[in-house]
Amino acid sequence: MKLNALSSSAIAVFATAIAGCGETRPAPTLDAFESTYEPRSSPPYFIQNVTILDGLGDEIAAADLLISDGKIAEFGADISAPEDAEIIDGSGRTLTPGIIDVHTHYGTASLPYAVGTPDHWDVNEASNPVTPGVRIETAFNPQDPALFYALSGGVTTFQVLPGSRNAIGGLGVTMKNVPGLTAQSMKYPGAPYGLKMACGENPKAYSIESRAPYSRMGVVALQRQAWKDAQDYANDPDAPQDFGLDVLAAALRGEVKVHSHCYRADDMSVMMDMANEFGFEIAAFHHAVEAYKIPKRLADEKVCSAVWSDWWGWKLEAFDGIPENAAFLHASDACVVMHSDVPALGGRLNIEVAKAVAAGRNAGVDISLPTALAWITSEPARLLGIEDETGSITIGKNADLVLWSGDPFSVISRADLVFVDGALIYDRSDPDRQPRGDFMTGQPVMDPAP
Amino acid sequence: MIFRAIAGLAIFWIAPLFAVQATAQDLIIENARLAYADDDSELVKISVTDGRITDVSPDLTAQDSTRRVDAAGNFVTPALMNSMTQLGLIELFSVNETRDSSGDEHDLGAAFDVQYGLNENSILVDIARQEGLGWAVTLPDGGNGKFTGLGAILHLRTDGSILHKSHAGLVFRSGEMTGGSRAAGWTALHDALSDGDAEASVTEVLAGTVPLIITASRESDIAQAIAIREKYGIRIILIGGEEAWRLAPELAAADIPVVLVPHNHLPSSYDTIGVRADNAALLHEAGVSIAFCADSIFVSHNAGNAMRVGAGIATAYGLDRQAALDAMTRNPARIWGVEAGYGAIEAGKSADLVIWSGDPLEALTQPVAVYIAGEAVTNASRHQLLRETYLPETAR
Repeated sequence: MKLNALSSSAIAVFATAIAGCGETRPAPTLDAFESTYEPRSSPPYFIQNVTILDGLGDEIAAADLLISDGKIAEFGADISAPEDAEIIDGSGRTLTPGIIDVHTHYGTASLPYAVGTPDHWDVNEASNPVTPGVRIETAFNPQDPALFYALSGGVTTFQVLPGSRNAIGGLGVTMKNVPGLTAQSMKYPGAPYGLKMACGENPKAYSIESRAPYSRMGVVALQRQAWKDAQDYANDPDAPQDFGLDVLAAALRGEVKVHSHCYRADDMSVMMDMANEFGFEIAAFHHAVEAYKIPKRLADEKVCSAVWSDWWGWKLEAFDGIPENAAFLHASDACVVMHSDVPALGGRLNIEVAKAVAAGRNAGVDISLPTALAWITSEPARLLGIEDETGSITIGKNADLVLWSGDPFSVISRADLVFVDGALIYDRSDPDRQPRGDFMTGQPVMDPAP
Repeated sequence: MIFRAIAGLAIFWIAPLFAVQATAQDLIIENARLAYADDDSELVKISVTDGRITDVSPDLTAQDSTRRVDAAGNFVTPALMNSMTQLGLIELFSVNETRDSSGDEHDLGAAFDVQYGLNENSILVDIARQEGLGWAVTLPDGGNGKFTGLGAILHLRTDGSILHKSHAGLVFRSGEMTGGSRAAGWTALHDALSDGDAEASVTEVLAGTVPLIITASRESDIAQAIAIREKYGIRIILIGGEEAWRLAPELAAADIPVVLVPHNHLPSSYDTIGVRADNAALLHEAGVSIAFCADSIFVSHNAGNAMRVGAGIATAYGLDRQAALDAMTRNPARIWGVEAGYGAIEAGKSADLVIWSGDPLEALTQPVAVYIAGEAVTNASRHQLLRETYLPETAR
């Protein structure tokens, strides 16, 4: 995937080099607001006699797993606990990779929502339909209560994306779900940035305020012009630095993951044509409620679909949403990721997977639950470009783990323990390890924690 | 003015209970496991005649002409009831042409009556049936601090009108406003209930023939609803109730049932900062009658599945699973006054039944068969037709 991106952008750069001035500007750097995240120090943990679902499709019964130095050190049947390890009884419980959510608005559409004021809302920079230079990390409020509900549902890593009101909306950021006081203290070190684009009804909603774009045509024309400008910029060493064009130029080089909000199959087709025209790669269509209509094209183009289990019908472009979407994509060898978009789903992505699997079975597509677990673990890790570090239970990977009270796909199960880089960040039985954030401090809600 | 006149004439109208006798052949469902009987309890047979359950017993003999369905030991429950939807009133939230749920623009208030806008051909109804929903309350929406109108009870039968009963309740919405104060809304409600020349629907509320449905989330608003009950002695059904756990004994003492979203655990608005995931469990334990619904995008579009899985999630926070099922069957039947014909698998009730593939509270479970008024739900939903059109080759 990465190779494809590099080669296609190289071809694009080469092609424009022939057509243009023959000289390119130095590769843009997006470095700013650098991560200050540090893994918490923690003792080794030894989880005994647990069912492991590894996030890659396998299930290992009655296994032990050792967490050491923040990594998954060993797991299997015949390993022993070091003397200094804390022993955790996994009997009757299930261990999975930490859940990774590729589409959230945490910290920028902060809870509680408030209709009458922009105080809670930093999702869209609506001053202009094309704003590649804005960064969601500069708006992120780490006290958003939703973060802690997601943690209690097993989410260890998440991406925050700008909203879909802009044709090109700016940079998202990938975060570790640990309590912090700044975005930088949660920012996933080394994770590539994501660029948000949008097609369809949301970006054309500018027309409500009598501002362009008024139609899908206008949205696509603005996007094509932006990519053309970025190509020209990449080939013009004398152009003054433009933060937005830096972002698009980096996307053309395959260094930024492009995430496009899209619902209709025909919209997705136009976006893929545009990507091929300008030589950038779309990492995923988000929401993608009609992806099930074009699974082969999506598989051929190596584009993921980040979907809900069953949302449909709240607007026209979501009218054809069916709950079999994820299962049908999977059955056609297309990449599937389940996402939340809203906090109500963000803490229950395991149940979203169960609903999607149930719908598939009902239609004759039988996908095993250990396989479907990949939709919220290893597949989103790959989509975010952090698959070498997290997203599966593999020796040497970061110990981002969830110990569930039982079958993670049963409604009655809860996340008992959540580890990030081997540190125990959430413990359902210990109020001192149930972060709530400052907004909820002193509010009229009492224990138990979420 | 015309609308008001019609509403004034529309006296409490009740569809004749199961009067349609054209319910085709009789039916016996065999090897049914009644949720939540013990695993080793005997499986039963459920016999159905003219759309009603006539007998439930391990020992029934089928007549030759009887259609026999083998539930194969699976759970069978009454078809579910969702106590707050806009089914039949909304197709697409964002397309105003398909929304008939609010009388705000016409300033109708308590005179707005959803029955005149009900779309019996709504594609959402097919999907709701496929998800195991047999009954739904459909209510007006609209702004807070005022009456938003009269709701209706739907029985999602396939052999006649789904409008079972209009004037199911008069909705008053309390709670947060984007301007003004909620206090003004409560003042207006007291004025309306004290007015000697009250509107027709308010008169019905004062006479006790129509319940007052109050939407309230914050504790202070729930307390105001209890005060209304005490002052006027009228029937009240509370909807929302995110902070109701704080007043659970008071609600139980005032005999005010609560319709709530069972999986709600987020401080999604300033009115729900005190929400708890075990709200349903705490209310049930205190003796409050609870019934369930869904929220946000799911309100009507996934009115069966979202509520059912949400009820399952409530059991992870202490709610007994029989109580969770009751909150989608027996309890709403009583709360909405249809318990004579619905709410349990027993002789005399409408044959509104679902055979489930597993535990009806689990997300992995799906309906195997749905019967409403004795008729198998066989008409394909729009979802199913799309699914067949785009079925992957591997599943063909």
